[in-house]
Amino acid sequence: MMFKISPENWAFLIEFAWLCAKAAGLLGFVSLSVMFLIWWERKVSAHIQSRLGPMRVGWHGCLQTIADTIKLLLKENIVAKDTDKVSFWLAPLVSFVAAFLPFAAIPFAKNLVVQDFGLGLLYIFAVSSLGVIGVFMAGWGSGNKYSLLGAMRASAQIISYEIPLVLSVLSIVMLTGSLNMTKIVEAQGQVWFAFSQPIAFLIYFISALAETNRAPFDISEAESELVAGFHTEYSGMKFSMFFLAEYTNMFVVSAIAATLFLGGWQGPFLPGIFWFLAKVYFLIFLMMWIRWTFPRFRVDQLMNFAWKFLVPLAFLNILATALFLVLKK
Amino acid sequence: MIKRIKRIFSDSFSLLQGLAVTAKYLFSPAVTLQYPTQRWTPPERYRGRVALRPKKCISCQMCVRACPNYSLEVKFSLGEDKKRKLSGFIYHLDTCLFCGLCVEPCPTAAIFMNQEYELAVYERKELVMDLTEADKNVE
Repeated sequence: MMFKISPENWAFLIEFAWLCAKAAGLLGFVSLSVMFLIWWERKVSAHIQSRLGPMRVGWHGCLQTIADTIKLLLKENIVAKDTDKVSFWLAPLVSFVAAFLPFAAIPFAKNLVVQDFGLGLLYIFAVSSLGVIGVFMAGWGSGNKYSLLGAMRASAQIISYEIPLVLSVLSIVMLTGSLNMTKIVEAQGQVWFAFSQPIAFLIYFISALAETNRAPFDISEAESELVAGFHTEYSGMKFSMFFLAEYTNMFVVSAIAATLFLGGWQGPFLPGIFWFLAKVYFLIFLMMWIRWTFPRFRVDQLMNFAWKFLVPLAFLNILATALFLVLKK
Repeated sequence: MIKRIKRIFSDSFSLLQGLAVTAKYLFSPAVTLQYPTQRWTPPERYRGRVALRPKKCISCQMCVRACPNYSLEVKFSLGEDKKRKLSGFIYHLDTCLFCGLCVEPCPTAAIFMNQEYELAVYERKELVMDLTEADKNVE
């Protein structure tokens, strides 16, 4: 059978292939970056604890993550008897896809963005909040009460902290009047929003820590208290998908923070992509530093902090920003 | 209210102090060793395994009596001059508890504890050794 391809279809096919190429490039970047981040986190944690960390595979253990990935790939695929097969298999994918999709709207440098959405910020928050479904699917699908409890803790936490997160970003949107990431970066030509909106930045950063289930908000997996929370039953490649999602999430929230508060790709002399990545990796380092310094919150403290402190503070901040905007007119 | 706000600021400051502590450790040298390539020198009075200076031993059995676990066996023969001659000093490393009680009563300081700490072996029978053989050259 022969197909006749019309010119419009050719154009569509070329565009589709181009999008696929962009996605593949991003996927490659994300996996490499995650490998680097895992190694880096192990190194940072080791040096904070006066150890050396991985030292054997490659220079200062830099190839350790590759060795670990190969080990995880070769592991047996274990599925417990009482699992809900569909959600058990889909959960890691949903988690990772939700962590990966926001990259489409993040500007890495001027004009270096997959799709410059008009509503980029809205898209990012809409898509990244899907990750909680993956977490809950994992907990439900495992057919294990501890997994389910871990998943409920995690979803309660993620949903609670989403509110101050979005509220803190709202004040930036009020200042720029746009949800487009590129426009928000360009609005920070003179002063970064981290300096003009320090409270919003703090609220964003704290909620982002909780969103990514990082210490001190990591009660959902709390390695020293619980077994593993929602991913207790996972091993091998499916577990590593969750791991990949966690570190991708870290990159995403740091990239959003860098774009919204630290002036994105803007910086003197060096090319924009360098400044953007430097800011992102600095923020990720800050997250690691915090993880290896502070003890974990209790569940009730965690919820109190979100609802009784961060949410009112975020509302006050929005009120102050609105007043400022009205008085400026 | 003012007290509470003050508390928020002092607590935030303590968080920064905590970060400063870990930052200090981040740049301080590691205290761990890369074991097979870097090794630790045990202190002088470290209690490794029991070792023997065979020439000094007079087979008096004081160490055998002192041992709480019966980990030592001294084998000897009587010479023509009715003096004991050491023919074997069996040491059971598997039951030894490294207490050093055998070292103390030795009248000639023939028995002592050396600095060895890599004592793992593949088979249990390797843990039973004859110290007249193993420490043949120890003076």
